[in-house]
Amino acid sequence: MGTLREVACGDTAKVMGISARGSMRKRIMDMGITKGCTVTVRRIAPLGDPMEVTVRGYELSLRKSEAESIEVE
Amino acid sequence: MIRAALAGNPNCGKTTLFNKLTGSSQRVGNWPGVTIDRKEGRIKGADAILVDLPGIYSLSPYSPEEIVSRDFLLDESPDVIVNIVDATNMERNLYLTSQILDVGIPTVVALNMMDAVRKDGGEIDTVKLSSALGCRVVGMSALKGEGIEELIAAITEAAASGKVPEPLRLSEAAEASASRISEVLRGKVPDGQIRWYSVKALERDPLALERTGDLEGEILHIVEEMEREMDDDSDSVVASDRYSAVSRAAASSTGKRGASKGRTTSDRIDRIVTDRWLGLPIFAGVMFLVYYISISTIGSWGTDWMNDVFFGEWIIPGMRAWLEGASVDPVLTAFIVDGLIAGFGAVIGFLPQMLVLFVLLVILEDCGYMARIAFVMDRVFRRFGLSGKSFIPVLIGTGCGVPGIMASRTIESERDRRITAMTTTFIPCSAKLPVIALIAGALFGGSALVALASYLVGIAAILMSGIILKKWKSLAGAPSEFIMELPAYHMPGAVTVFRSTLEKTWAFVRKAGTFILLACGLVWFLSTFSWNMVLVEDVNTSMLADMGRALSWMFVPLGWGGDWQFTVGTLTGLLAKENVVGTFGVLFGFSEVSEAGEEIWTMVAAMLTPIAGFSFLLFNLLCAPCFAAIGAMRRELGTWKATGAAVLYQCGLAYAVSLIVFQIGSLAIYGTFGVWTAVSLAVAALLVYLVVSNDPFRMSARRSGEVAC
Amino acid sequence: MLNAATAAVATATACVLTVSAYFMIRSLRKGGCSGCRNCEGCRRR
Repeated sequence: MGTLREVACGDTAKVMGISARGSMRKRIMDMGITKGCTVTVRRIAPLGDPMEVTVRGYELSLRKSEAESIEVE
Repeated sequence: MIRAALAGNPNCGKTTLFNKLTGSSQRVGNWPGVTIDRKEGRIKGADAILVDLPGIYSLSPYSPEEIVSRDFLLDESPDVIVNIVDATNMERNLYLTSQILDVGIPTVVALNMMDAVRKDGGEIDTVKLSSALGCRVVGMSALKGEGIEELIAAITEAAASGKVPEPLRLSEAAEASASRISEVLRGKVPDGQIRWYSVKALERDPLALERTGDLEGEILHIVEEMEREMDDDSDSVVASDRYSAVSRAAASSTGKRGASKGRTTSDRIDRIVTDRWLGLPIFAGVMFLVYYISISTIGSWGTDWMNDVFFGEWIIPGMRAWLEGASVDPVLTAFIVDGLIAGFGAVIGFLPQMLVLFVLLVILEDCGYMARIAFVMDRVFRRFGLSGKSFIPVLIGTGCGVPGIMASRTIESERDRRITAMTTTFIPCSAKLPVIALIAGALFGGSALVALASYLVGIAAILMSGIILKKWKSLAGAPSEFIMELPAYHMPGAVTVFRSTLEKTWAFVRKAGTFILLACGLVWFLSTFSWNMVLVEDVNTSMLADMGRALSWMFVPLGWGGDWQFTVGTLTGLLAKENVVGTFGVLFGFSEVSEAGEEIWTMVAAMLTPIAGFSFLLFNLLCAPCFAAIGAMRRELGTWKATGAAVLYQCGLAYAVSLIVFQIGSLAIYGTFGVWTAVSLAVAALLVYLVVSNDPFRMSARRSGEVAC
Repeated sequence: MLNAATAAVATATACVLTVSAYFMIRSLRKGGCSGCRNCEGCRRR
């Protein structure tokens, strides 16, 4: 268990929950990151942030702080 | 008259479809209360009006775009909803569809980009998708113009039949809870919208719950029961259920999956280009190369030819000879040759450089690289309290500040939006490029480093302003969320590049033929006559010289106030930044090129040291933008007072930066030290203080009553 | 000195400048953008 932030580049993880609240939470879920879906970390930008992930067949870029609120295993 | 609404994700071809459906009949208006444009138009060949809703990912109540769309669908009840779905990205797009189907209005799904699906070797069965979703699905390609008629027919049919689609079923537990909520809500909300309110209430949607009034308690009770049963928050349950449902629908209708070859090449490129350590240097390198090619090498050969040959040998002497030969009044001749043609020619002289630059920039934009820049710059911007979203207007501003300022509308946070609107023009726009090229050419041997430095200073000014201005207002929120899609790279199409470049180049020429031409005519007139309308021999006794000297003293500490011409140039820059070049063309004798074909700008070189020239350049880059941009700022900021304050800030910052650069620079290069050097050091210290200090404007004393959010 | 050539050239110049001014004012009223509808500014709507 851990957060999406800790997932290494190239690895895949399964989402267990989202600890963010309010509009950030809604935004994350609206974009397809929901409990049970798989997320693959494609790349991490210069300076470490943001990170690009593949979810439900398309690419999405997320801040590391947003990734921190996504629990995965 | 049918009323239809067009809804869909951003970037799925909605605008293209809207244009194809409504053609030239569209009108742009306003949604009340928000600064989002409302586009409406008549559907071609149908008795219907189509309202374009803003691009949204969901109908949640958090961003102005979503709220505007929701309210329109629920309160204005259109007869039919046209939901545009990107076939190459079905699940995420259908998530919105699942919410639209809950609204209780006849819906038609326009499955766009079918051409891309076919190209990738994929297949989608629209009939199967139709039955899975419970509404009509029309496969089409807005870009290629396929399926449009079928779509229009489906729209009219759906509106006429009035058939409300079956909502997509969620999981058992969610559906059960939703039904219970529906019972509670019966009679309290319109029958057709019971499904919408029930599910939204289940998701704990604040706007929906608000409308339930005193029934809220009862409803939340039901929600909590379900949350206990599912051991998860209700919004997460519903979101998951929606995605499961649309996933099934998509899977049932997708035949062969496309190979998406384009993706892997994109990945390989991105692996390097957005790499942690290489990304920024690569970006700097790419931009440097772009300017090197356009300003320092290929472009400059063209410009030299334009200046020395086209104007220097052909047009100017030619016109002069022709007019004199026809015995035209010498004053008129001078007006035309030394005024109009000189000014216009000076600017047009840069056309070759602009042309090459435009081609390169269009290629960069079209292949998708520019989108990566926002991704790369986000981290940098965040460190300074702005989000990567604030960078997109800046990127647009490198072309023209007007659309750049307007693009700040996509930023949700009001405070970030205003700051972005005020600082976007710090980045050199295409109109400022001739000025950069002129200074680079006259004083720095055509070095591309001048251009690079200009951009770096611009970005630094934006970041610094972001920090300082954020401390001015009391809101201390976190920077806006930054979640965005990165489209795949693709080879820039020759036709697109050609057309875009032509557009930009033509815009440049047109501006020269209007703004520049007129301004230069005026400059010539004012510099050729004295106050009593007598022709002057020495330009320093003309009206313009007097006007210039009235203000140029202000710029003496900046190194270029000694000669009034530079001040005049800066002033004419308010109409159009290229005027700086045009004005110099008139005042510094562009029309008197010696036969030896010497550099046109030797006079500039004679009057300014390189550091003074650089200071002049920076001032013009950072100070108030042209009138058109000021107008755009006024539209974004709302009041003239705010706009005035913004312009004042820009000029103040420009002055400070130019002062520091000139004084410290002169100190370093020539060892000169004077009163102004000391002043510039103080100003520098002040700027550092504003940036570093937590509360430089002493706002906390005023806000003792507020609660930190 | 006012002769036929001067009058003709002056008139021509005045015409050019008037047309020029017309387009300039039109552009300013439209808000400065060239209305190319290509950039994000318009596309976002």
